[in-house]
Amino acid sequence: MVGILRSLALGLALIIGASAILLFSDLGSRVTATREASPAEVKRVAFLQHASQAVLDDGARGVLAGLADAGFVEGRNLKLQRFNAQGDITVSNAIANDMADGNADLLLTISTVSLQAVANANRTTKKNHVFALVAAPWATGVGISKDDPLDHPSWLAGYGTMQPVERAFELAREMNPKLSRVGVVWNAAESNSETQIELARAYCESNGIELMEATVDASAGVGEAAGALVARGAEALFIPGDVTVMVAADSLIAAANKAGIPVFSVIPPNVEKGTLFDLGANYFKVGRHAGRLAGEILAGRDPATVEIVNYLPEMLYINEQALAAVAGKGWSLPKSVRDRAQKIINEKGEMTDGPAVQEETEPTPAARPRSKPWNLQAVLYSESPPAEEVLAGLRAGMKKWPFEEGKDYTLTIRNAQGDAAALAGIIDAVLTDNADIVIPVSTPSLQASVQRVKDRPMVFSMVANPMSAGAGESYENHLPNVTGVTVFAPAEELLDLLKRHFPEYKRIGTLFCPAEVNSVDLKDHFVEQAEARGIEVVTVAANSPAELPDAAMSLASRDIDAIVQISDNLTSAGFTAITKAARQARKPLFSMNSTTIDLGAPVAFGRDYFDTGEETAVMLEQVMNGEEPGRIPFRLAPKVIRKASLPNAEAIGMKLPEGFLAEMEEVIRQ
Amino acid sequence: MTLLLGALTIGLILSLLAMGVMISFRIFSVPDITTDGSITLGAAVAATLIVNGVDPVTATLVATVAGFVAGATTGVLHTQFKIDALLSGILVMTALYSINLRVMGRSNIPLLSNRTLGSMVSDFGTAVFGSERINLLGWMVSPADLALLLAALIAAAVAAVIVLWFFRTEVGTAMRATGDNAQMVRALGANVELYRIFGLATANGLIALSGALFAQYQGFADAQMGIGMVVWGLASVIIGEALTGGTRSLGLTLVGAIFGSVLFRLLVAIALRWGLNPNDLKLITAVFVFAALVLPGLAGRLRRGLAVK
Repeated sequence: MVGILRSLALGLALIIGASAILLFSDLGSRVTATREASPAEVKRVAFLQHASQAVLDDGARGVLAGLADAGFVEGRNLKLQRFNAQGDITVSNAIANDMADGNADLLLTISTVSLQAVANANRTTKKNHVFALVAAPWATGVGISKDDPLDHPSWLAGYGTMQPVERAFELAREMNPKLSRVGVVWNAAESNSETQIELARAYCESNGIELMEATVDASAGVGEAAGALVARGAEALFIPGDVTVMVAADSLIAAANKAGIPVFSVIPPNVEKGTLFDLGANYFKVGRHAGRLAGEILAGRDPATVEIVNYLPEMLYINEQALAAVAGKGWSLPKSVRDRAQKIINEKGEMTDGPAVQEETEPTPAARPRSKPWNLQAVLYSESPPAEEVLAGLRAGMKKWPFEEGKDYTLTIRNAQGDAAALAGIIDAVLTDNADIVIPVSTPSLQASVQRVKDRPMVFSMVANPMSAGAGESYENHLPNVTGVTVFAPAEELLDLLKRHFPEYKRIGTLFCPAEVNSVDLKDHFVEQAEARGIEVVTVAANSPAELPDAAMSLASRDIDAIVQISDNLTSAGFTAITKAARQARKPLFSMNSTTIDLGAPVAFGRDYFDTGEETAVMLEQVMNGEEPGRIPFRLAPKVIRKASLPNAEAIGMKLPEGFLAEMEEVIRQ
Repeated sequence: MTLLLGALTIGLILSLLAMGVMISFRIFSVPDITTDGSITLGAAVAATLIVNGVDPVTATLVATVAGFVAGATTGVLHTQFKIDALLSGILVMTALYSINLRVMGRSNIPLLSNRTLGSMVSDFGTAVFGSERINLLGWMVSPADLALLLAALIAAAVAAVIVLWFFRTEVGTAMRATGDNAQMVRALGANVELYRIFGLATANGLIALSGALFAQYQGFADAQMGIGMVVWGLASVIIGEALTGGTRSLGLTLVGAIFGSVLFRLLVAIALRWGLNPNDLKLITAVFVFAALVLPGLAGRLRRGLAVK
């Protein structure tokens, strides 16, 4: 036994030693980890959103931005549990109980239903609770007084955001001082709409406007009711925040249009449907205000000292097209009103930013200083000219940031050198290094990262098809922590170009790498697109750099009119082999990889990798500015490089017609 | 800490590969290149089955059997067709590349949204330790990572015990004897060819199992994941032997192979962690391995040298 142990001692000692070295290198993260993770400093917040819907999403984004403004950043000193009831009240209640029983330091809710559910569950637990996006907090039955802003449960605080009904009427008056009869359609069964109608009635009575009401019980009756109001002589129609009416806004607007009278609302953006203006709340700002309040309470403020008041950052949308239609009836757009608009639909019907938009987006969270520099880590799969171009572009893009390298951020580059097994280890190293943002470059890197990196943002680059790498379902719908730049080769454009200038090509050939998921994807797409244009494609597989020369020769010796090489990792690195084969067989050669001109391609037509890198830097900046990666759609690298080289063409013996050269962006003459 | 846990887990999963290589290389004296193909085969079969709704445990077992068949093929080529062992391995490995692509239907199968042994263990870890991060010596680690490490340790230990038990049975002993002295065993009337085939099959079964587990751990199977694996397997075995002082004991050699595999991954992790120039990664890995191989011998010589004086 002792003998066995002695034999094993050295191995064990070495393993322990190596582990110790590894842990010792990691000591830095331990110290910060303990400091950050000590329960005294990390605040837990449970956040309930009732449904995924534009207004609530805006509010939720605002809440997070507000928390960040107050110094609470998720993953650092904030542990945020997000819940979404998906519109289901039963679920909402279950979640509310869970939130109240849990170990959260603060509960956050947006929307009236969520406030009610959580306030109910929290009656005995009395956890601090901040709410927002509630029209009339006093009307929710949770014990908030309408008359005294300080009279509310001592653990509950937040802001009401009543739709600006009075302000909307005032605005209508500013645009048409002679306005005296306004019609409104509403559903008496909606309590929120009743509150608004009361406000409208009060305003109209004291300002000499006749408010003509028509009630409906279903969306189907809205058009008819609107028609009746018009017939009774309404000079404008008003849409309150009434779900029944909003659903049928089109029919109401159509009725008004027929009579040549305008419609205005308190819920943006109905202007797109043809209202004259929408004056509503900016829910992002509402959420942000509440987020800041939540931050204050987390930092020790007593919720009982918070005055529950109406907070209404206005947002004005104006439709100049609708204005033109009613201009003859006394309606005009004074400059003072126009200057307040965030969005304006111009006379051509296009949505443009209004004069007030600057003011709205002005205080970006970007300006927020970070206590330590951003730790950015790029993970490359292998060295190749495109990867190097991407890195160069990334660096160039970073130079344009307002941040300074070393002070505000650091960039580390890691490279698996083509070893798929090493990739997993590299990702672990990146995580251990406490990277703030991971930047996988190329498809294999993304694939390996998607699995391991779940708790921090990733901005990938140079990935042909992120969906097949497991990063999401589509460009818009993807993993919450992932976004990035794709480089799907412009196969259609190149094929169209060939069709125009080389109509004699009937059969073309390409190599592909069966082991690269991106290569197979692109090949399938290319074949499909070519066949749709009546061109047959011959494909030859090449698995490794060693096979490439033979595969290229075999392709070039087939009965094809030209080689049109798709872009993948294998052929990017070994493109020379293809050039050589094309020269020997004197086959015209086109490449879908913009870096291959130097490797002998006569025509290169592909995504600009440098530009890809720059675009990646832009997206990184967005993420660093606090945008959620999940809400940033994947972006196709915007620029396509079209390059031709006459010397390369001559070496192969192919003629490039002047018409074709004229469509090139750059022609190397000698 | 995440890196350490990850390196230990991968090292333990790949120690099954090291054990497989040890069987073919040390017991039968065949550097079996089938390894590069069979580890991918294991991953491919397991991933394909899992994606098609087969329960992960069954998928892993089927993957092991697939590796067994691949190894048996190499054995048949070698013993029945009298093809050199090295070349038989190369042939089967080359064929497996295409077979793997056929099995998967494409070059890469992601398992991110599927239930795998990896996700089962993670879920189990979360269920037992809770979803909160655990403070381990001051580092915050996720219970899922910890559970994966424990599971890998158990898998390696169980495999080692089974291999050890098997090679101590009558058949196993005869098989070991075949590797040492085939002529003698043949003279004793045993079927040397069958033993060889079975030995290579067992080795590749273990290797495919390692591939199946690795794919489920990392969340995808890739046609290229096997490239160069036989080299790492051999390196692990040889490092392991250096560590256990070149013993002839089967048990020690097995433990040595596990140690070698783990140590090897740790060295790679250190190279990664130090964030050295990425282009130098492989050079540094090689230097570390060199050091691990030479230092034990050097230490021994020093000790002896001191004793003489």
